[in-house]
Amino acid sequence: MIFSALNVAASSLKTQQKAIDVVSHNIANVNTPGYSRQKAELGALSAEQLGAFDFGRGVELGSISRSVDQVVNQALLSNGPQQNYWQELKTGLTSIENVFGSLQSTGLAAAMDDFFFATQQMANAPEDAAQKFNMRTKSTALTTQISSMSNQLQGVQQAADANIDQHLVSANNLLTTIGSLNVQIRQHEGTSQGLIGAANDLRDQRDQAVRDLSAFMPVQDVRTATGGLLLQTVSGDLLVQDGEVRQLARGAVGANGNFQSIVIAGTNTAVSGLDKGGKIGGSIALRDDRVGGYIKDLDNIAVNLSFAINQANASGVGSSRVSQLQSGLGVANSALSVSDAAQNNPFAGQIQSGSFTVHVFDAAGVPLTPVSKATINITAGVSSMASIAADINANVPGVTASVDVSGKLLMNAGANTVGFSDDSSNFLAAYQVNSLFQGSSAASLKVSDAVQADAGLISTGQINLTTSGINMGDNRAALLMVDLQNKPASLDGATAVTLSGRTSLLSTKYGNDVALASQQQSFFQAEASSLNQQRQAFSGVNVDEELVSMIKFQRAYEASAKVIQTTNQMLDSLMGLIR
Amino acid sequence: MRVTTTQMYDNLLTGVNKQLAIQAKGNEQISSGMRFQRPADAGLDYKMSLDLRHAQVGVKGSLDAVKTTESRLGASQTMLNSMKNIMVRAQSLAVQQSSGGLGAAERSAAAVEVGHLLTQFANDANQKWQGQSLFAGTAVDKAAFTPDALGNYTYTGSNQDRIVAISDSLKVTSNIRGDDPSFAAAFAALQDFKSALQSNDQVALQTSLSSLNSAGNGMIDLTSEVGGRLSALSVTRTSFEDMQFTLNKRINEHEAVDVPAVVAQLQQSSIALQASYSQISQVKSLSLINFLR
Repeated sequence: MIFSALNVAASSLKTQQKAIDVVSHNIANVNTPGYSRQKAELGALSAEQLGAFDFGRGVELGSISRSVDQVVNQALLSNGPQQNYWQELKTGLTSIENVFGSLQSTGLAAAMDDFFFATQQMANAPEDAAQKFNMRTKSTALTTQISSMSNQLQGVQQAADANIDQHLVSANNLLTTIGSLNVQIRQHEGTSQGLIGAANDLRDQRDQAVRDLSAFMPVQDVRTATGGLLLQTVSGDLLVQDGEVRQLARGAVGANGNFQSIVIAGTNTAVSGLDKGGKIGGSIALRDDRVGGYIKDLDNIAVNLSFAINQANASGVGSSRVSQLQSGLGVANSALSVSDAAQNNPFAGQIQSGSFTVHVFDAAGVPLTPVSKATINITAGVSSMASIAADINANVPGVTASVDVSGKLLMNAGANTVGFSDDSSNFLAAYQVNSLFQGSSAASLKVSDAVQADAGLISTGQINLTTSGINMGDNRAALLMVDLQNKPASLDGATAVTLSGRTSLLSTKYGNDVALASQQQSFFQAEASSLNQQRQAFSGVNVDEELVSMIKFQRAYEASAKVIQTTNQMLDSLMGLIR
Repeated sequence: MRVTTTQMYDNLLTGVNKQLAIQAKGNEQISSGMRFQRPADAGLDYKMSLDLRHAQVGVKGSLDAVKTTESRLGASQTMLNSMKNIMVRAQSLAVQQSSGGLGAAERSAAAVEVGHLLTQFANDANQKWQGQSLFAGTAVDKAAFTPDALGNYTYTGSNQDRIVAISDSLKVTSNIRGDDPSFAAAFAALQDFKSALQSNDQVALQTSLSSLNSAGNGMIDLTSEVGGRLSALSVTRTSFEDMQFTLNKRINEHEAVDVPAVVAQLQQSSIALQASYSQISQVKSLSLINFLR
């Protein structure tokens, strides 16, 4: 029986030591992300029956369990995609705040105001060459601002797309890790202890990996009875099943026309639902919806500004005229109607049946005699660039016209000069003949080459339709430009808004997007903080607790050692009887 | 609820970050003097600022346009006054020369003076302001009146007025055009008066007296019209100046930071920040480790 006591005490020594190992493991991992505190589950060894009595055989370590609240874990899994989605958006949006200017320098809004201020000054002193130089400078500043903003935003789109690539690499690494952990957990729990849930640290690592993955994309996890884990996207695309991993890759150019879609590697099917959350979703939203939207708004500002101003400029005349000109935009097919949508001209739809008049002046600037002008008729849906060139050749005295290889209209008056008036068809503005602006989008918008070379070509007055006369103080064309400042316009089919209104709306839209992203990010961060607190409360390591446990196990260890010592003394006493 | 040291540190760190953010924002507001600076700070407030500045630029443009119109009309008024004085002198001469006691010699001498008056009148009518003909309409590079071989002046300017855009919705005429009948009547009256004097025609002189009076009245009417327009412009200018003052005040109210409030907030945040720092250093001593020997 004395030996039984020794065995019982020995079992205690062994068990308390193992329990202290668990405490030590907890303290060592007090700062390990995703670690769940573990607990040594002690149990009495089955009793030995001797005669009428059951004698205990000591203690053993039954299992080591981890403290996990699956409800909190699931909530964290839902929170991760949202928090990271808004964080990614907020970071991306904040990084482009310089594009939208500040009150110190309001950027586009100031450039637009300066442009119309210069227009007004030019209108009120049309004979003043300095005002035209100023107008050209402000026009250049405005177009540079618009194209620069567009280019910067396109750069941000590219950067967001590159971020998606990086996020995909990280997500794929995590998917691989999860698959690998699935295999390890199955092997560990199948062979080592034969208990489901025994691979505590591996399970912690897998839970953490899934949470990390949810920072990149929203996922659904399904746990199997054997400890396995099936992971899929919110739209049901399988990502991980036990050890099998399906990685994400870039596919073909998507519906947005510019960027590659995201597919399951080895397939051509785009993964849906990725834009619902996570860093990948945040980058997609930043790239396509937010920045893409700003670029679209800028394009609308550019086309509305360009067409409206060009309409006034094209039918007007400045202090000088050209002898040769090339239209700013060309046609895709010179035999096709200039108003056809297939011409890839955003203004083609504005062309209507009507006419414009070409006036010819001699080298001294006097209207040509006996005929100084000709009216070119345009029939929407019928007149082509080739037919218009032919009409000019046939009717305008001393002027030859042709269509160049890029589909642009060329006119050559030799030693004479040409001017235009009374364009009721919108052809001149749509194809940017005698225009102030050139280009069909925010990125390509610029002051026309001709005006860059000679500011006198900016129209202020209008040529007299009857006499082809020009008055230096005439400001009818410039007044039409002034009127555009607060005139609602819409070439994009949306609600008509003034140009300055569009500009301030763009800044407001951006500001509201940042505010929403900040507010949502703060909300989900607070939620994450609360959930992490709850997780810490349930699964976190409290050093004080562990130290108390350590003392408890240490004392038990010491007591058991005392039992052995006492038993040894008893054996000594017994052996002394024999001597 | 179990509390771990990690939770305590996390909570304190969150508080520190929050207070630091308040400090950073407050410092930015104090140093710039503005409540917000970027659209990201306050989207709708930023839009309001842009709208106010847009209106401010508009008012500045309007005031510039009013000044342009005032100076153009002011120069016209000066010339019209001069032309009116010429007509007054011509009328005085006509009264003198219509007296039956005067002979051909005296009238011939008077005709010379009337010739000078006519030339002076033509000079005034062709007067340029900043290099542009005042009374030639939009044909500012041309003389408003050109004499033919017989010395009769005809209008050679345009039939378009010089319109100034005060704003996109308010446009005013900034000139008096030489094809106004008053100019032709004045030229004709002076020319006829000169001819009557040269021909010593008593009846024609009587007729000239009447036509000079009528033409003089025409010039007075034109001068009055310009004066009326200038008065109206003065009212317009005052209203735009008031608007400019109101806009400046509104922008200041809208954008300027409430310094005392921000300083108080910074002070409050500073205390909270110091308390957090102090507490962080305290947490490390609140552990059983420190009591186990």
